[in-house]
Amino acid sequence: MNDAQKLWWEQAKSDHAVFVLLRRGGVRECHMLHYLQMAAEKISKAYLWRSGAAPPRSLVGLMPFLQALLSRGLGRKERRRIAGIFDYARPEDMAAWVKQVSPLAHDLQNLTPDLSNDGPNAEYPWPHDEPTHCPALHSFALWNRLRDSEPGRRLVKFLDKAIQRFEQYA
Amino acid sequence: LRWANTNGIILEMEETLMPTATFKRDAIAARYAKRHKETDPAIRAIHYLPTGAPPNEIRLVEVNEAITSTAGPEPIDFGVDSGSPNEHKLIVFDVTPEQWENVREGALPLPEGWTLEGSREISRGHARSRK
Repeated sequence: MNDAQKLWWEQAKSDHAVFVLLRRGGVRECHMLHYLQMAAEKISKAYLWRSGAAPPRSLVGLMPFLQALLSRGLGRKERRRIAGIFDYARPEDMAAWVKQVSPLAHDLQNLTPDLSNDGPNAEYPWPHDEPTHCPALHSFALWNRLRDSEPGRRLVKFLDKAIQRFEQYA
Repeated sequence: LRWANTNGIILEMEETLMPTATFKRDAIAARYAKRHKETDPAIRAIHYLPTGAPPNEIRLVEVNEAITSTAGPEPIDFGVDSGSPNEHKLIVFDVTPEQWENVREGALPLPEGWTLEGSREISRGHARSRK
């Protein structure tokens, strides 16, 4: 793990700890989603910094992170090891799960104001020019899918593992 | 109500009954089960385990045939509706059908403090007590 990775990992751990507090506290959905999105983004950046250089902006985020973990460029042995770290017997099993969870991961990744297409996001009222909604009063379908479906809960648990076990695959 | 203030003056007030909010745990648990079943077609059964749970805590074991992870099951908890009369904690324990069999046979432990005693299957539209 290089120095940049350590810094991004530390920030991911801190953001994630706040997310857990918020999740257990039952606060407004936007705050839980905001911290989960930030923790996901930062652990993604921590991994994608492994080359020692800043990853291109277009290749940063939860989806690129999940894809990078399963990249064929890593080799079969390493992919098998990484799958094991995340409690999958084979890389194919982990890949099937990533495919299943991709819509959720994509929505979580795009929850920032700049990626939300002037629609629901976890931080700012929208639409930008004539706001009619604010995050604090909005019921997010994404949060319901994360809480009320097994794939959603598994994504939440996956991010926890990704952060807690980062040293094993960084 | 009548009482004297510090100057001995009798004060009178009309007694008002404040509404007491009651958290309808069983009904809310059934609502979660219905929603989860509708959301996730891989769910085989949802068991509600109220025995020993704090009054505002809903414990669900969800048996799901789509779980492919080799990890042991872990509960995950969510606070819901903080500050409202319906404030509660939802804890979900996702298991595979095989893990559920192991739980029933006592080979796989439930989370600490949980028990199958008095549990009910609530995934079929009505509660069925465990014999």
